[in-house]
Amino acid sequence: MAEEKQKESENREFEFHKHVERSAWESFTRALHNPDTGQYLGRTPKSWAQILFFYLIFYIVLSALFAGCMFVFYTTIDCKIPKRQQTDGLIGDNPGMAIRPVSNIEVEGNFIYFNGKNESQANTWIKRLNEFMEPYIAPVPGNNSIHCSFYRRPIGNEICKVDVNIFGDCSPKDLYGYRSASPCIYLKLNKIYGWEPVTYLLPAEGMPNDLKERIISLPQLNRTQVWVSCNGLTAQDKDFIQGFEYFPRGFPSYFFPYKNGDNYLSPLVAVKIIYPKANVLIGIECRAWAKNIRYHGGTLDRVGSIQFYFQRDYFNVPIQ
Amino acid sequence: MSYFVDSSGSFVFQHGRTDSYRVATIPTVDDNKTADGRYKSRRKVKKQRKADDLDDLKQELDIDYHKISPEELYQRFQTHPENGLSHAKAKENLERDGPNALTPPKTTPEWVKFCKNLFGGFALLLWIGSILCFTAYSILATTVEEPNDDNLYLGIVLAAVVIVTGIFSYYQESKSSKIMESFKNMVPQFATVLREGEKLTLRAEDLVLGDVVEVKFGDRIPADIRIIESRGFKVDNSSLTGESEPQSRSPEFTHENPLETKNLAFFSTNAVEGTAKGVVISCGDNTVMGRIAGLASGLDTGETPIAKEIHHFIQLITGVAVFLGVTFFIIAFILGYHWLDAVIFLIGIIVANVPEGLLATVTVCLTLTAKRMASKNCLVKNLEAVETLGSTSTICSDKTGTLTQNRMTVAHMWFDNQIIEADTTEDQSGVQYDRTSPGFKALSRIATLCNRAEFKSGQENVPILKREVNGDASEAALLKCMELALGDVMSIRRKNKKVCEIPFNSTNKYQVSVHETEDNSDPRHLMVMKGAPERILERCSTIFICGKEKVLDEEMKEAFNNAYLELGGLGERVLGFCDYLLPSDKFPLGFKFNSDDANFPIDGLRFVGLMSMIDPPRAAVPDAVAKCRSAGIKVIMVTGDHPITAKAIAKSVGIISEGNETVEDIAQRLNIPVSEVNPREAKAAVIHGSDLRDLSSDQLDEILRYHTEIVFARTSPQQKLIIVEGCQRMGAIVAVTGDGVNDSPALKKADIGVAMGIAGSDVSKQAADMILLDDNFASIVTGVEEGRLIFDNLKKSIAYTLTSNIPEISPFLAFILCDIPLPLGTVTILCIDLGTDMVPAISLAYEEAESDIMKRPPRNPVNDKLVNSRLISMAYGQIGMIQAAAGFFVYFVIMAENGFLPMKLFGIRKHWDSKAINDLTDSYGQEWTYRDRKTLEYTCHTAFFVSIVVVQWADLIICKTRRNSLIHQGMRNWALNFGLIFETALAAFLSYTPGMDKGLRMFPLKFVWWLPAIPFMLAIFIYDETRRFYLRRNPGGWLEQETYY
Repeated sequence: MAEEKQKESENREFEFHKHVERSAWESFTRALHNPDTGQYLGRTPKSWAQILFFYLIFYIVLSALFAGCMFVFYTTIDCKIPKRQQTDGLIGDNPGMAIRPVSNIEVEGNFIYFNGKNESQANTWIKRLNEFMEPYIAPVPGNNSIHCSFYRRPIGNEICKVDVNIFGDCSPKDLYGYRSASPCIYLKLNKIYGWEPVTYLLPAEGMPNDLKERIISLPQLNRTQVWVSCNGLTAQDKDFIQGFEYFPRGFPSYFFPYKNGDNYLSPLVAVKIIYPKANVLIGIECRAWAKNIRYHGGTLDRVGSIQFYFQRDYFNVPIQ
Repeated sequence: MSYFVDSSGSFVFQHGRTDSYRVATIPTVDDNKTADGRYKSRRKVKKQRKADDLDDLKQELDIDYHKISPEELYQRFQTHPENGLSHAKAKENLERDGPNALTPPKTTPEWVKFCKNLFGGFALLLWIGSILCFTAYSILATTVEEPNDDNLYLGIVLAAVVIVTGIFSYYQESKSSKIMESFKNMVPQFATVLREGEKLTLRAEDLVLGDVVEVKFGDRIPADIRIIESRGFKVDNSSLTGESEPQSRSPEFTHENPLETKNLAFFSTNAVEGTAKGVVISCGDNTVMGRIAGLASGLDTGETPIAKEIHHFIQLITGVAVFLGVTFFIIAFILGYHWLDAVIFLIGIIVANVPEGLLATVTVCLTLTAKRMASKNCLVKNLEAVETLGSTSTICSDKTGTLTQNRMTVAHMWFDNQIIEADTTEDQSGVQYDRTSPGFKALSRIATLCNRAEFKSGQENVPILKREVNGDASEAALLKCMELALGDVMSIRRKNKKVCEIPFNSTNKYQVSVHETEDNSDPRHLMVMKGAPERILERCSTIFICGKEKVLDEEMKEAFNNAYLELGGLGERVLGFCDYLLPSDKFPLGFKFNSDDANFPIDGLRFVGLMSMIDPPRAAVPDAVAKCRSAGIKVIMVTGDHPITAKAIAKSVGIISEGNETVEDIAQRLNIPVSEVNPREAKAAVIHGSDLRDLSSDQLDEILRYHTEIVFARTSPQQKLIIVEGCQRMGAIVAVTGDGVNDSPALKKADIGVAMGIAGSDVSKQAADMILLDDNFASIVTGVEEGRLIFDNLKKSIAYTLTSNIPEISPFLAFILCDIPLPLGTVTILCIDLGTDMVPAISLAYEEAESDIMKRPPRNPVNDKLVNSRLISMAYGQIGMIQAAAGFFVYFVIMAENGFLPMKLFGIRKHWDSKAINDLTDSYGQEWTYRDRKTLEYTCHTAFFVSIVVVQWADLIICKTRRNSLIHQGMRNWALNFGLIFETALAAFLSYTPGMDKGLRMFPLKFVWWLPAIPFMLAIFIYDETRRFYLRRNPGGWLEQETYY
């Protein structure tokens, strides 16, 4: 009995072993391939096979679980209608604005720069605008797009066409004004599924005078537009620009709400920057006017507007 | 030209003679002069000094001052026994050797230690991350108008984490050892010195080699001296040898070993009796005490096992982090990312890989255990030592005061031809013996009367065995035994008035006293004698057996011898007792007995019996040793005491178990010489210190390897150290228990040193890592249990923390490789690592043991690592992946519900992150501004974070146990339950508190978004329960080998 206990405690007692000294290179090569035990990187090939097989099965099952969850999730969403709309989701109900042309090179940001003398530079902008305008110029496939007006709103599946002829001096035929001293930019209101504007039928606080005049000059029904106005960012910027011209003045309300219809195209407003001062960086801000578009200026928390920078280098211009 | 002092005390100038004398002898005094008397250069080669010095200190003292004749001694030191040194010579020596004091070792300056802590471990990685953050921020600040503040804050947070952790670990380590100070307390202040014939009182520091000093009882010896005159001089060498029995000192050379010989007395030992005069032969750091102090303070304690494990773990994680970081940095370049972006990726990967909160978690876990141990009277001085006992595979224990009570107690008596056992337990709970027999009465009378020990006053209420006694240890033992047996010894002595006594002397080896008996009717004097048994027997002609006086014949002598051998073989100290009634005619009342020259018979006495005493083991020790051995820990006894006593104690505590024999036992049993015994047959071994001196380290290794039960006896402090080193060389983790100054080098060198709190000296307490506040050896068992438990729980804690690394890293990898918007940000990663994961990780330290941890063998420090490949495989490869899947699922759900179906996300990253694009199109044609889609992205970060918290619930519960099922283990760990609730509450707080979106960019989540992670949470739970089920069913199988960490 005592012997058994002893044997037990012997087996459990610590086995002393000697440290075998090896050089660093030797232990490295031994780690890769140990000739004594036939191990590669610490495992025999059989062991490698076993563990890799285990992990293969594990990841297959895990992927299946993931796929299963995704499948179940997919049954809860529709491919045409977003699940969470406006304030239910994170897109909110305050559409932002975007301008065209915009540079592809990210670091340049919202910066339009060109030298009137250098045709190729202006051409890049023209090219970008052409690409952007392609779906607008090309004939629209399908037969659900109609010409809308304030009297004829779209019904059911119908999509409003955007007439490219209303862009005046900023039309594609005029190369968007990039051969002149007064280039154009296009403004776009961001699409939000199901958002409808509550338009200003009367001039409101803060609107520039030309907008106010414009609103008053229109008949009541035609006043249901999301108005647009642009201005220099700082007081100095305001001095650098003679003025703006808008073709048209706003986004008509018959384009809203956006319901993810096929071939829907956003309405555009072309803004002509009239005789900006040359060789100087000008900051411009364009904002949209509607009762349910909240506006916040400033650089950090900008809502309801867009700012961009513009610089035109000096060149002699044939007076238009 | 030099001089020496001849025996008449006059200075003699000599040319040449002493010089040739110098050449002829091997100078053992390095007076820094060359063979022809010129001074040597004072510069020594400093490089290898420290290592050489330590090796030097480890050697046994190799001096011959005790062997040479006194005249040679005086010549060597150029001193004179009556006059001492001349002032000039003393001054010269003082300049040459320095003061007689212990020099403290060089310590590293504090700021160096602090810097080491600030840059060690993960700190380096985090510093790199922090610097990268600051660089990225500063570059952004110069190129972009409104730079993202993220990087700045991240850099600050990372730097703060590193600094706080650095301060933490610096504070842990800074509890510097004050070993040297404690040694200094043992040094005497003043000494009486003879200089130029005058007796001076000098500070002990001013003593030099060759000084002639006078010491008397009560003094501390001021330096190592050779005795040239003595009068009844005795010293207490307990600080050097552990034995507190006073040793008598005299001028004669009795033993080769300087520690054993009678003519040397050592620095800082106490003189307990008599007076003496001696020549200083070494002082300061060269004294025996100085060498021990040098060893103890100079020894590098080395890394604790847990520190090694943590370093190994840090290396592993750092390797993975660097590998991933560099790989993806390169991949980012290949994929055409801007280099600044690649730097951002690198930062993200580093931050995600490094478990920032882990160091704090480990420290808190260790602190909790230390507090638990403190409540069980185990004071842990160094936090890491908490775990070391759990890994211990060998315990080297001192005997006196540690295993034994350090109190001589009467254990056996022999009278009426039988051996009677006395009760040695501390509380008299053992078997009581019969006190009524006449043999006992006679014996007890002698023991009571022939005894000079007395209890100190004022101890009536103290239990007898705990009372303090004036007198030596053996007499104290007898006194206490008699007080227990007869009660009120003092009144017995008063009734039997002592009229004469001859005190004990070492030549005669007996002690006699004459008393008037209490029996007034009997006018005879009673003479009682006790002493060494064979001397007593010589003087006896009769023996008192069973109430009758019989002639001492061969049969009786044989019986006596057998009894004496048996008791001696038990390692006990045996004393013989005899008495004689002096006839009243020759010695009437009032007879003038002469003690110097005995005028009464001291022969032909009546032998009464023997009493033997031993320093018994502490009550809790045998049990503790048994538990340690069943836990697989080898227990070795290392003592300065005699081998026979050591062996006897070893047998009685269980270090040498029943049935195991040493080579000597086998030799005796088979009646063959020791050399013919096969050493492999002997499981036990008792090794004498003098044999140990001659062993090479290989031979020592063999002994340690092949004997399971070992006792080292008569070891010097240096030898104790060598034994500890031998065990460590074999790869064992060694614990040393001790209480004396002589244990301090071994205590320091051991992986964990355990000192006795009450009986231990200051020096040993300073050198030790753990102090047993109640001197209870059984606390070591507690220490082992707690140590093993915390090791297991740390494994679980680390597994838990590491698992969340995969769901933290994978978003970055997907971001780079799949070009999707970032699913999880760096700030949220820090919220996990430093926020929600910390409390649950710490709560795992409160987890109960899974199985009987005291039945396992100690862990193998080479193979059983804290963090091994299986743990990484489980945490990173399995559970971590499930968690990552949960996170990604939530990410896709939120994106899709808001309009970005999964297929749209791939490749969108550049546009997504571009500030210029204010109308990014989703799967439904909606256009998102930069701000809105970033809010969406941050909501995804928050949701990913919350889903990690949700799956970590499951991870926490499965990490509770490595083998058992949850049903078995239960949810009784309330800290853990609290941790679950706390982490969830914190996550909810971070998500829903207004203002969090501005600071941390964490947005409120819709309640349903907490749910997508739940299937994965359940998957983790089910997977692991199933895995453990199979693990229990197939122990030792493939699943256990690959996944049981």
